[in-house]
Amino acid sequence: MKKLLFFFPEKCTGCRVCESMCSLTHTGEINPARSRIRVFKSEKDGTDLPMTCLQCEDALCAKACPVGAIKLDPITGAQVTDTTLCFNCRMCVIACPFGGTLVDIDNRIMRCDLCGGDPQCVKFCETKAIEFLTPDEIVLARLKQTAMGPLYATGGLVARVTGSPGDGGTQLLQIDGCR
Amino acid sequence: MAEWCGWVGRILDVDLSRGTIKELPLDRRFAETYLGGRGINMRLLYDNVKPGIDPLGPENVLLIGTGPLTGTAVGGRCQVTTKSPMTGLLGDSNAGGFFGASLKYAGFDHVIVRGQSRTPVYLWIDDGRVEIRDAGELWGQDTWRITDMIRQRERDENIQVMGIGQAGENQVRFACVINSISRANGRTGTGAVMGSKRLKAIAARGRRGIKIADPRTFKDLVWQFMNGARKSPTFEWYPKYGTPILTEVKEKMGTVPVKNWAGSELPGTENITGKAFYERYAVKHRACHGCWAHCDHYYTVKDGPWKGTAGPGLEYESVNAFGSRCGNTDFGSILAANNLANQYGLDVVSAGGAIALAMDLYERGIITEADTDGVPLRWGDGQLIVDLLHKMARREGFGDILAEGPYWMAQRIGRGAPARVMHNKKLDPTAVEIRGYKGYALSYTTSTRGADHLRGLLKTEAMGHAHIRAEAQKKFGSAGVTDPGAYDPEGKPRGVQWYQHLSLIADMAEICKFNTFWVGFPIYIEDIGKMLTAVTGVEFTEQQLVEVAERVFNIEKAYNIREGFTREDDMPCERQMTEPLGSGPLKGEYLDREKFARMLEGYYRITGGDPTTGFPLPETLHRLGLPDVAADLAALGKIPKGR
Repeated sequence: MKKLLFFFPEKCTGCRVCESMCSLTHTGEINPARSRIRVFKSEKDGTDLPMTCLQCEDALCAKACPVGAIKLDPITGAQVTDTTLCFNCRMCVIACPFGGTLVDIDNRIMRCDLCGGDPQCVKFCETKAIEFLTPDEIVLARLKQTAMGPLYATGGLVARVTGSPGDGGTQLLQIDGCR
Repeated sequence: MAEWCGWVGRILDVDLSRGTIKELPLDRRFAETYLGGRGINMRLLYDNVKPGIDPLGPENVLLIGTGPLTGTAVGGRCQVTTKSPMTGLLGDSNAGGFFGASLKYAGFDHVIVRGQSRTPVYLWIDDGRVEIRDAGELWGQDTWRITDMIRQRERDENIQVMGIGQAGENQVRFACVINSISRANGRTGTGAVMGSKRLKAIAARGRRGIKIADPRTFKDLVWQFMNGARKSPTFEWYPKYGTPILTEVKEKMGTVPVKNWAGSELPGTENITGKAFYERYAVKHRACHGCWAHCDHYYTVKDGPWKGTAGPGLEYESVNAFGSRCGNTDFGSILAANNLANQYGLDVVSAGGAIALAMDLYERGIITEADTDGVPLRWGDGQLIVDLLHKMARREGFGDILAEGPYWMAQRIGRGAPARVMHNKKLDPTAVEIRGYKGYALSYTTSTRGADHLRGLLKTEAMGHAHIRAEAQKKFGSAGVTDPGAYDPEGKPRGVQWYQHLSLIADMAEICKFNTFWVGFPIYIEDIGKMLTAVTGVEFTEQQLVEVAERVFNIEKAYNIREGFTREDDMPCERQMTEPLGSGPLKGEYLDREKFARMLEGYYRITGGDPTTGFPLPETLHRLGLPDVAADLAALGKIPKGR
């Protein structure tokens, strides 16, 4: 199972270190305008939302590319642009409904490449507001939360979780039956 | 010319009287000599502001400065420097937030603002292009509203705004400059100067980036320092609670001031502790630009009379100023007051200080309802504190007197009021009771901007662990350096100087002091040097940085001397020397005049000053490459001529 970038806005402090480290890694300078990841914030409401390319499996950017320059890296799971083919038509920018492909200050396209499998935004995020995980690692934890929370509270089902949460191992949710 | 790394290489020079905008190149030698932020600002102030001018007149200059680390992954701080309307001496204040970073992305390290506009204006810095714009619509609005208005005007949420609220417009003497709606260049009345220039705000955005000389090393250092900090004991409490935790820490130490500095004990303090804040009001951690310590919080009041109050940016200073110092233990009212101070652009320290003094004077009958618009000023009245903030910012009624800040307000009232003021160099102190901690006291009195912990606090006095104490005693060469009550004339001055240098270096590089050893994180002067070297490509060893710090500190002193500073201004105020602390673990402590004077003499000796006058020795200034400053002071007859 491929890893994905997961965002946890409630843990994001809005420090923008992810933007700094992203731009430094990809361009050698610190410049949020060149970062592949962006933090959206509202000081008055206390919200901080990091977001970047979702690395879609059937990526619209790749489909829109007239020269087939965008290809899925089978190891990292990133939609990577072959810069030798890309002629910067920016169709991918237009095609992406999520805003995942951005335009750099030199007007060339830029997109998260998961730093070749070691995303620097994740590495430098102190609060783990961005994590690089297999969907199971997080989705099962959420499923467990749902089971233990609303579902359990209704008294409809008795749910039990095996495996130790937080060790990254597979967790099994067993439904033992009606109460 | 080689590319700038760390610095972006340009200074913006704006004259509001003439409406002119100039761009000056930053000189490399100048940058290496004064580093940035507080250092470069200080040299610019010394060179551009003549002695004796009116701080609120057109001849004063407002300087905004960033450092080589501003806008990188380890800091986003900026410095505002000017002649202070509170002290008549150096006015200087450092802030976090996001404005500093944006100023650099927009292409400037420093901004010089001269003159005085006839009509309200704001400065718009858009990716290297600069305009002086009409601020007619912004005038009269608070800092939260103008941030929204400017962003909406350009349809860009990423614009960072540094500006004043109504307090600055009305030249409340301690008005501050606010950026990111809650980060303040708080002290010494920077906002009043900005208001006197009719400069409502500076807004910046840019796409220019900061070049890093050695990206690989820089990344390694950031990783190493962040993880080193994570492993330190400080990380267990500081990032979680932030500075509000100091209420309970300082209560135990006997250094939390209550009821206008009467003592250090207040019933009900358990309601306003850092833990109470974290458990009842904090909903989320927040950080300034490029900071892993995320000590800020977003807070909401969920019930009670202050229900609906919400915002960012609560610090211990607010809790103490609107809480303990006013005898107030209603946290909701403190949070409401904090928001108001941020919106109006009031320094929380002096705003709460003025209210606390007024309550004290009222209790003593020095002022009565005839002075206070018919309102009784009772200790602990949270609603009253909020009401007075409104009047203060608008200079309405009794608010006009409060707006002078503790020192000048007492002078204006007379009738024995001046004896109730706590101050050093006319600046009311930040919330640390110094009477029991003699080294803290020396830090406060010798601070170049007046009473303040952020200019170097002798933390060795508060060190608990035996091995850390032993290390400090060795480093500063005396056993007394870790004993709060000792008037140690050797180790304490040496320690005070070391901490003054640490804070100065942090203020010049523009990294937060709360990311360094200052709060116990294992990041020392040497480490700031390593980061500066990786960022700028210019080698900065600890020794070099200390020399820059010494140079800048002496220019700060020289600036104050030109404005009339004398040795007496480095002594505690009368009340600190005559009134014993009334309650708490250090009850009965005061600062002994003779003993303190001897410690101060020791400080002058160690820092290259003349023990009799407190002025720098000519050889000190020459050693630091400041022959021009030495000549200036000699011409004024302050120091001897020649080397």
